[in-house]
Amino acid sequence: MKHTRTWCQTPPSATLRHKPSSTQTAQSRRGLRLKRAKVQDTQGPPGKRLQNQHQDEVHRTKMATPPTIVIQLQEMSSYFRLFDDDLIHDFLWMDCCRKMTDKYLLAMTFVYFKRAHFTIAEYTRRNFFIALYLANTMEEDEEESKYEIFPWALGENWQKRFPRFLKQRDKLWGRIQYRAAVSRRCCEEVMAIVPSHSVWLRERSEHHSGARRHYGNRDDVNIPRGPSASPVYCALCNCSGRLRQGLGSSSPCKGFSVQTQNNTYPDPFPSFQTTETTPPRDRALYRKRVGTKSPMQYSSCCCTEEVLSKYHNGHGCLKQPQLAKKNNTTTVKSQTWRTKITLTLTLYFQKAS
Amino acid sequence: GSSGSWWFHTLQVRRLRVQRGRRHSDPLGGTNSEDQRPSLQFGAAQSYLSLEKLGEGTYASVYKGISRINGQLVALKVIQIKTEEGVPFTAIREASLLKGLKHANIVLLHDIIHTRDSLTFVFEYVQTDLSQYMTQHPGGLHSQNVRIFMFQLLRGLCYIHSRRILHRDLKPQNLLISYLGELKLADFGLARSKSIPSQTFSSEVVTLWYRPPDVLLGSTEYSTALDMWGAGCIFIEMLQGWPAFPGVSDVFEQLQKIWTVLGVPSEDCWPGVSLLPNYKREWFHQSEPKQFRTVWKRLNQLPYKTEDLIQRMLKVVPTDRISAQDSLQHPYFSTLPLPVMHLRDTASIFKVPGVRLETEVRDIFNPQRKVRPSLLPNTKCW
Repeated sequence: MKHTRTWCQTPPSATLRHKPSSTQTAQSRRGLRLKRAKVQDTQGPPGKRLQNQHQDEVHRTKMATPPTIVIQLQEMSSYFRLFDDDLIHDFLWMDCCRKMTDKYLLAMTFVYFKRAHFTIAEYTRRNFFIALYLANTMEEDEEESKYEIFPWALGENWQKRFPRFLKQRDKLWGRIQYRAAVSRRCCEEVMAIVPSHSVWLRERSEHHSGARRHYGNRDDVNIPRGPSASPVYCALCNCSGRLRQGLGSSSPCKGFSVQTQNNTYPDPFPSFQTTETTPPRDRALYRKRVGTKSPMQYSSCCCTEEVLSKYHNGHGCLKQPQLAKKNNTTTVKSQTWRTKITLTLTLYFQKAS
Repeated sequence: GSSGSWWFHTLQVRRLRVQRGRRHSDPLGGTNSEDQRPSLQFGAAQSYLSLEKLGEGTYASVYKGISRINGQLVALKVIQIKTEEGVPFTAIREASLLKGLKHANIVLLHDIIHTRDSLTFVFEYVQTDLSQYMTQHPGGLHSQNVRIFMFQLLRGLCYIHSRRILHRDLKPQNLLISYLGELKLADFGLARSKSIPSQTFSSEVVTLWYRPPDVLLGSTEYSTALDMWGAGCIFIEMLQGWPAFPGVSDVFEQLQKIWTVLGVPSEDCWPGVSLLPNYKREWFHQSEPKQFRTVWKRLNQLPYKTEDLIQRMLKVVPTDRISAQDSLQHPYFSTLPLPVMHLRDTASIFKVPGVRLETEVRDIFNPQRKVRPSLLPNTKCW
């Protein structure tokens, strides 16, 4: 049984008609589509265009309205679940200035998942980093910030691995029909689905936008720093070295309120309980994780242990089908990597105190 | 990442004869799309026949080519993919933006061929560019042709600006001109969407000569007015036959050139200007604004509305600059047939009866042609 739901607001009625996703995928794999719908499509995936054409046969009045993305509940929740992954969680925390992971870039990342017609199994950490890197490539004139993604996505051997990562980015770009441009409206409609979700609270501050390029002594900072180093201190945001806060708290320079923090992990789907498709077991796990990651526990130095044990146990790590399929060595390797991070972190915290 | 001569074309295009039967298929035989051979698909390298090289840029080479699918001439922009870089970001942006743009005044991206080592963009073939056109017709263009080119340039800008896309690299080399006179914005390698509010922007955009004063001053914000300044510079260049603010080596010299004509902006007319990074105190009250017609003499020979439109485009303060949409309504264009105002996006201005290019007074390929001296614009002002 498949529950689908239209999230986007324009046009509201169009979304309820849903073609089986198998048809969409088959169509999209047929290679580069040159014949395009006349309607300017800055938003929806190619499959959606077909769907609109299909609908237009029935509803001629909809011809004038631009196509919308049809997002299944499961897709949105799977995307949100990525942020429960410890590594992604810490990656977002490290980017306290939101230069790589502000709400628009994270919304674009999701739109790429949709345009690529990823199956739920493909909602992985790896694909998240690849799509996020593509979003940064498309939107950010400041090129260096995004290199920080490498060590997080690829581990300590990132220098050897990043060419393959870039190949995968290019492959994803091809898979989305070379359409990496996402309109602001599309981003905002994605965010409007669950507007209170913590990732959509990741506003970038004004001093990190526009054409202003040089802030801080760049020469002193090694880019990228990776998971083993402390985040770069940003005088404008005053945000490094403060271990705290859930991934979506409002800009640290504004301080954080308890209310915001408590809302860091709200139930994302309060009004869609009846159509919830997440298996109960996952749901329980999800809740549990929400519990353990209460941001209040992170607000001071005592979080050190929290962070370390989190890495050490390796719990809460997203299942990665691609990795799991390969062999055990991959898993072992990544464990070793994590252990090393633990050690480095320990050293870092000892130094700090 | 752009090069001026990529689109240079030798005007032989209409004389070009394709060798028929070179392969087992006829490259020009497939004009009827039902004739398509099953092996010839979009996205496949073998679907295009590469002809001579048209030019070389920093990250791409451009070849003339023929589509074996439908026999059309194409321009093949071949980008080498380096292992360390992947596809250059300029290419990712260019294709991603162009995929969403379908307009008579924007170059059409037909196809993309993505292999392990290279990426090829297949564009519609356009014969020449404005830079080459002005070289061929020196000393300023026919005023009616300038109007037709400007209308198309502004129409293209209006279209992309309405989609919150900035071109950011306007210059004559990036404006393609077909043999009919159709103008098409090309080279979107520096272009980007400005729809998302908070993303980072580079101030290193636009070739110096066409860069607006606010960006030269290091302004942290720019928007569609950026392209309007460039369009104004190109307007003057077409009339004069010479760039509006040429021949300088750095940002400060470039600003000095602009102040000479427009005067140094004061805090009164532009609050905050003195706080911009490249602003210099010693400029203050250095020069007063001049009348454009005293600087660019060709304007003396033309009705006042020409100068008026240019003045509205070349405003020092970016927020004062006229928008592309408003400029299309300016009286300067009122002599064009009315239907040009109501064309659908993909319809060329030349579909409207009465719109055609005039013969240029000078042509270096036909130097023997007699021209009345009185028709020649004054070119001595620089």
